[in-house]
Amino acid sequence: MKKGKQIILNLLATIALATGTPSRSEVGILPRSILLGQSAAFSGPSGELGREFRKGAHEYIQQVNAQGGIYGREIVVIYRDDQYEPARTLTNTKQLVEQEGVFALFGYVGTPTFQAALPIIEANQVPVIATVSGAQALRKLNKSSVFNIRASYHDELSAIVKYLKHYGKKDIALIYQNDSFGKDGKLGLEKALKGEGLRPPVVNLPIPRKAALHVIQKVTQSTVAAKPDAVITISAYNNVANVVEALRQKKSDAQIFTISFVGSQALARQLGKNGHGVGISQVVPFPWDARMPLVKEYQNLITKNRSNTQYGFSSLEGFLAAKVLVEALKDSGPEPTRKKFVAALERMQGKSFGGYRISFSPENHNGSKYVELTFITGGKGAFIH
Amino acid sequence: MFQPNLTAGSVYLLAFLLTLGAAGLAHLLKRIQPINIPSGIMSPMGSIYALTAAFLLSNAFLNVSNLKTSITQEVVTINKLGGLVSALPDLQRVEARRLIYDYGYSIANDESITIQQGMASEKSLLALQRVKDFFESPDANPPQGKEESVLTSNYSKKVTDLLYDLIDARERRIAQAKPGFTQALALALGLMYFALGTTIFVVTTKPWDLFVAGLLLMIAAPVPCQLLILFSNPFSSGIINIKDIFDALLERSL
Repeated sequence: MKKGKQIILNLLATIALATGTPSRSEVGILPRSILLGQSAAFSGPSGELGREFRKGAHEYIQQVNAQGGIYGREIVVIYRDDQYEPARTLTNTKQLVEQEGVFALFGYVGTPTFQAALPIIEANQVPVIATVSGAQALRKLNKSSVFNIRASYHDELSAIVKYLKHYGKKDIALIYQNDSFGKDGKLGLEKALKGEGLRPPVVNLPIPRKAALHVIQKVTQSTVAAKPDAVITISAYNNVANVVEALRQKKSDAQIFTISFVGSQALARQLGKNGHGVGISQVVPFPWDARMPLVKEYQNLITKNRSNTQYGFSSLEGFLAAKVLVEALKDSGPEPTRKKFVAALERMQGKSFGGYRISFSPENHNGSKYVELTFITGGKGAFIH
Repeated sequence: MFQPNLTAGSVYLLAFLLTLGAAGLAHLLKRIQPINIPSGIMSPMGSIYALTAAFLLSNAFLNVSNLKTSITQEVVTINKLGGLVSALPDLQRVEARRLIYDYGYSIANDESITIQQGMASEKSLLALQRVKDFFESPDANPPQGKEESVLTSNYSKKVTDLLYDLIDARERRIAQAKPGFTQALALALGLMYFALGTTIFVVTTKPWDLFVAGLLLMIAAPVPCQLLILFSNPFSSGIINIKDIFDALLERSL
């Protein structure tokens, strides 16, 4: 009788395995769910980036979960707001990794914030995917478990400089945030200018992360005095908005540029009419141009879900990140481990996500160099590309 | 040119003065010699006034209608050009669109003000020149050797036609924007009003009748004049809001 019961139990276990019924096997892999963590700015100066990224990712994850998840496990993302403050990111990451026991981290926003969390990440070898930062510091971590989808700030600045040179704008001024993000941009700009055979920036002016208006006035005064053809501002959107407004007040006709981290839509909305003509480099395709299958799928999903997500660069980045994440999780098999997950990502070589190609390898954890230039047009937050 | 910065109040003030003048003339004429003109004479006089006003108004309506057509053509052409440059490589496409929509922006924010005086704006002219310069440069050409698509077939001809359309629509808009309410037209209406008023006061004898007739004349007869002023100056009167039209053009992400 006892032997017969054992046979039945073994049989049930075999059936369970054969039908893929989930079981616990790794940190953050629960019988019915996969735990992921995201510490990002959902409020504060870069809050829009985090919120929109989360919305875009959520659209896709919601669909995957509704269709049965990954081998029967739902994806659960635990969100923590760090307000773009490194100290908060560190605390959040500790909680996510050590207390919540997440399988992987996803969609961290910012360079100084991510750098603050890096010791915890490295100590625990937690896979990290799709950081919303283009800093080189995150791109030199090839041996680690960090996977960047977006192009680097250096790639973005190279595209901006190529454009400016092509259209005869050679005297370039730089206003940058005085931290690891801004300094990385400064380095990228200097490299790009050298690469195009142009002079170094005519002015190089640092500003604090939360610059007071009198600081902005002083910095823009010096910039206008240098009579540049173009001004590149590398900072979060409140600083960039203040710089643009100050330059407009001073009747500067220099072409203003900034990079994707600014949070394009938040910037356009805040600037209103003053925003017309401001150039922004982007690391995802144009969210309103459905000719690319990725964008078509993103638009269709938003329509299908009847959500309040607006088309936008950050939400498309979140959507793309979620697609890559889901693909890697699927490719990790029914019993995923962090090792299998990293290996699955490293196998993505030239993989097309609706026309957006991602190439990772064991030696390269930087997935894309896709950059496109856009300009704010009018005063109602529209863009051209 | 008659500068018709006339408010409704000033039109009615003029009508009041003309009415007083007409009443005074009728009184004078009656004192010189008794007048026995039948009141039926008012009917042809009223008809002549109505016909004159209708003739002038129809011209003004036509002008507004033509202006709207020109502006619509301008907006549509800007959109078509913005769409057509999709055939260009990234760097060239974004520059082309930037210049095209800069032109639209300059109309919305600068020319929408100068055009109220019937004038083009320097900023818009410069923006248009930049668009033309771009399309005359090698950057305006799609890459050679690429497979032809609906967008790229006859690309150069399409661009040339659209540029001509854009310039044509702009010229028509500027030409038609000049205030069209001339002194001669104002004089014609004023004379007709005065003649109609005098007739009314001549054929009316009782004081109360005179008062009511004068009041009715003053209320109703200046209305065609008001309409004529509005429609002859559609930009300053707000009948055509060029700023809103071009702002709407810039609300779409492309």
